[in-house]
Amino acid sequence: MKCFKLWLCFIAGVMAVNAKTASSSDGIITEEDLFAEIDFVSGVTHLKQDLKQVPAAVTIIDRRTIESSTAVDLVDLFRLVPGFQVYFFHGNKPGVTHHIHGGQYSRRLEVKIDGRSVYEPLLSSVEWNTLGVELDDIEYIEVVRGSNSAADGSNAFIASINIVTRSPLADLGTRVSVKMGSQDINSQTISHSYQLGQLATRTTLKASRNDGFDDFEGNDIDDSADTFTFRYQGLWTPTVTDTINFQIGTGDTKTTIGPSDYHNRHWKNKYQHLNWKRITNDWSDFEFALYHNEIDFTDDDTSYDVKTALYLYGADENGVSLHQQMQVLEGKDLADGIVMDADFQQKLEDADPNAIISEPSYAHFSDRWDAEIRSNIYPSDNFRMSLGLGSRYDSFETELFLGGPGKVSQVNNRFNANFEWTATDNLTLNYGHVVEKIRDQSGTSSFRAAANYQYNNDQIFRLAANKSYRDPTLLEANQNTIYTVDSNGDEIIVYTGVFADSDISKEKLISREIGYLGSFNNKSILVDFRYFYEDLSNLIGERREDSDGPFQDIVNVIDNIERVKLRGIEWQFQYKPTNQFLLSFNHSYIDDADGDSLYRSYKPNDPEAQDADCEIINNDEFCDIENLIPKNMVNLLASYTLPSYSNLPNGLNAFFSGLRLSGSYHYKSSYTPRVFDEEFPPSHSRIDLMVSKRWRHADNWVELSLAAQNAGSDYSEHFSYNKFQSKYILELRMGSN
Amino acid sequence: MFGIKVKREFVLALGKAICFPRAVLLLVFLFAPINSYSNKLDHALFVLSKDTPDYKKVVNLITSDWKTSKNYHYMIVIEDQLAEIDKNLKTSDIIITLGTSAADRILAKKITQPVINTLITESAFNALAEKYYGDVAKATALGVNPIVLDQPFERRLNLARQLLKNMADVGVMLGPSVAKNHNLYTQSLTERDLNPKILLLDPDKNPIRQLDPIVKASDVFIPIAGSHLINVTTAKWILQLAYRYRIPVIGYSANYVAAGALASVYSSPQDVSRQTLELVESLLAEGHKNQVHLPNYCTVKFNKTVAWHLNLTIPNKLEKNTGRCDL
Repeated sequence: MKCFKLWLCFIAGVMAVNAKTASSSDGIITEEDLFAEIDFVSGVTHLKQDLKQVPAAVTIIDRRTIESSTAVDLVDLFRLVPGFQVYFFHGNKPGVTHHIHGGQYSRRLEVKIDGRSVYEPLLSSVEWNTLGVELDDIEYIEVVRGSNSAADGSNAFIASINIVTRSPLADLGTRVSVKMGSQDINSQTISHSYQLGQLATRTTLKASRNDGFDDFEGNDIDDSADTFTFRYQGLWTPTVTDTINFQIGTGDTKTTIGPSDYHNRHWKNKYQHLNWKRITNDWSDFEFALYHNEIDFTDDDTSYDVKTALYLYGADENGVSLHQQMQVLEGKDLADGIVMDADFQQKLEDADPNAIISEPSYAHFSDRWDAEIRSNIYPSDNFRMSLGLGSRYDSFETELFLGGPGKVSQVNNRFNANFEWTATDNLTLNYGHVVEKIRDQSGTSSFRAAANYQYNNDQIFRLAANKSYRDPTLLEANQNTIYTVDSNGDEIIVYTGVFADSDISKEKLISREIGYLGSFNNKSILVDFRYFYEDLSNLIGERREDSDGPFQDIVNVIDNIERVKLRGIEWQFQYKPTNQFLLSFNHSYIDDADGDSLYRSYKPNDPEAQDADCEIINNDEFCDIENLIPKNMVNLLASYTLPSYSNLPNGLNAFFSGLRLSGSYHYKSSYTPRVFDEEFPPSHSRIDLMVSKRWRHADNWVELSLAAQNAGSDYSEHFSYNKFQSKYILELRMGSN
Repeated sequence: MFGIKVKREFVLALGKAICFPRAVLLLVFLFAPINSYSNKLDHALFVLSKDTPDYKKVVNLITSDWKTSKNYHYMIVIEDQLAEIDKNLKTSDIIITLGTSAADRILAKKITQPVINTLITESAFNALAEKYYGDVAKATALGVNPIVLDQPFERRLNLARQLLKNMADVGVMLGPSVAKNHNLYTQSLTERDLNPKILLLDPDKNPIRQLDPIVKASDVFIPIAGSHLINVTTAKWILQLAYRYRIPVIGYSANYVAAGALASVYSSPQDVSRQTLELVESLLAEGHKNQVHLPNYCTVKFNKTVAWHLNLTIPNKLEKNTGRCDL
């Protein structure tokens, strides 16, 4: 009720501020009408700001850069962002993270498509394969490098990405794309843009499949994916001042989880998104957004029943299990095998022998509803603010993760305010604050403050500080994956996969940065430099804890276990002297030497605790963690479109003219993909190449492109057994306009 | 000092009192010795509409020039600093206003010194002249010298013609505040043997539905600046439809070309300051001009990415950072 009143107050306030609407008999035209800004960055604070005013480092990947790049998939583009790491957990499980290590589920990065968060609450990550957005759909991508919690909430803990798709108005007619290549890549996309009465619309269908990485050195890699997505965009502008965008979509992806023990995973997702924006006479605007994400998945599991468990792990008359005997046959110690203790074996023998302990598959369902109203208000020429009030409902229902089947949900309310004050001609001050409150829990308050000093028209220096929190997601706070069976009315736990510590709390980030942005040579050269210090504490991960389970002496516990201090630099250089040539270079150096992780509770005489990098504090073992992040990453993209050669014969000139040649170089120094992994892949570099040519006839065009990813020797991607071989992809695209 | 030999208020009051026809009144002004100026400038007063870079840049360019080549004294005030304005008005030989509200503040005072209004649109000046002097002719006759900011439509048309030799159909969008001028645009186009496709935008109706058939049927599209609300809300749809149909858009501001128009013809701060400097010198040397000063200079900017998309080659000679407008 309190929340409802707050919403009403906010709506009333915003409506009052924006009371003046378009008038059909507006008066004289002044110089301010001519000076009106048309298109600027808005993802950082939700205010319309240009790059000189924003309180954070921002990289814009525009349409031209996308077309000039060697990217084949969406994630490839993020290599063009300094400090961003793109990696593959397996061939169809890409991950993207900024600075901090990402793991299988990169949980600290907000990703939005046209303002709709695609951060998936069930697994606390972004499932890139399910997004259904192709490179051809994207108008530009706005990447905020550094925490953007003050504007986007706690999911934007380390960075945020907003993918802005092309308006249905920009295209007309049908576009078709067919892609084929190595790893059995096979993809077809068709989209159709049309005017349906008052609506500008686009419908896109995509079907794709690939086999993922090849088998490597005895490792049977099973990481294929088979995806189908449908997406509909509608645009309705009932009046000059009102714009209503809506999108619906669905997807179906069959892939696997791994990387070592592969199981099938079947994703199904749906979404609906509505956005209404009104621009008012006094330069202010009002926006309402509502979306619903539904993401479900089913995981195959190794099924076993009571009799199988007893057969494999039950002790014989000598106290030895079949599993132990098999270990000995494989040349291992008897102790490497598993045997039940006598009490547990008795309990299991009392159970129905056909009772299922582990089902062949488990289904999980997640649901997110999010509503937000926001207003950008410009009370004076040198002071502007953006106010937003939002509420989010998350729920998930599972057949396994909550101590068996169950459902949990939460309501998260948020209020954010971002202020921009142009203190002098050369100094812009920004302050942003977000208050988030999960119902029945304590609230969090994150902020960002920044000062941008404009040295001259083309160069700015930025000082910024940030304090952010990230609440544990529903799964992080509630997971309790256990396998049980009924024994004479007693529910006995056979195996515990992982559970959440009851005291789990929010993650914290304190960061400071010095930034520089300069443009030279009539804006054809752009230099963006950032020095940063980030102190991330209470990071959520998995620690080990002693277990008295029948099959395990150790169990994984989700808890606040890590503290990482990062300092370093990231910078980018872009050179676009003409429309034919583009050069983009970025480098990041990240020092993560100052970090530790709670590994496990200490057991006396445990040889693992003797590790020189570990320290026992209050019976807990803390180990130094470092090299979880590539210390150096370098990325270079160069693209050149051949001009018309009048001295060549017509046929040759027609072939070469407009031929685009793109090449990129990517280097990543060695790092540990998982905490405490002792084997990790060496540093690697790769070269990607692309050649493309578009032929045009009247309003129709055909484009053919050939891409070679890693045009050189194989390298290990993220894990030593993920072999990234040279990959060749041929694409044919056709369309109009 | 600039000297005004006859009290202008007297002539104005006389004109009003005896209700002369306008032409007769103008003759009186022409022959009356009110427009004789001395060729000396001791002190100038700049009145800015706002303390923002758009205005300060122009005034800085003017005063920088004076610092290096002249020995003029000046004072810069913002239009809401009423006491400062009143104090400096008495001692100033010329008043230079920047922006509409600054012009409003000064013209309301009906001062005897010559006034230059810069950074003002023709529409805004006409409204102020009517409000305080009855009409534009009276205002200019009484020593008000507007340099209008908006570039003539014909310059954009001429630019389009140089880019697109075979253009025939020209789309033009007029918002409600400029709709009354649609005949002028139609006439301008037909005089050049071009086929006008004029859209009088109704802001209460779907803008895309209104724009779509016009953009589609045009060889080039030229939006006419209206109120900022119309400008901002329609620019996005105009540019997207133009992208869809591969139609070049010729805009009226640097922002328009940055957002995706093929080209824009506009008055930059350099253009405005240059003409203001020249007008001050001209007034000193030759006296009052009795006219509205159209922009002598212009800046022509192109969006090369859009040109590339449209498969157009932009002749280097057409790009102009600032300079005398030969379009």
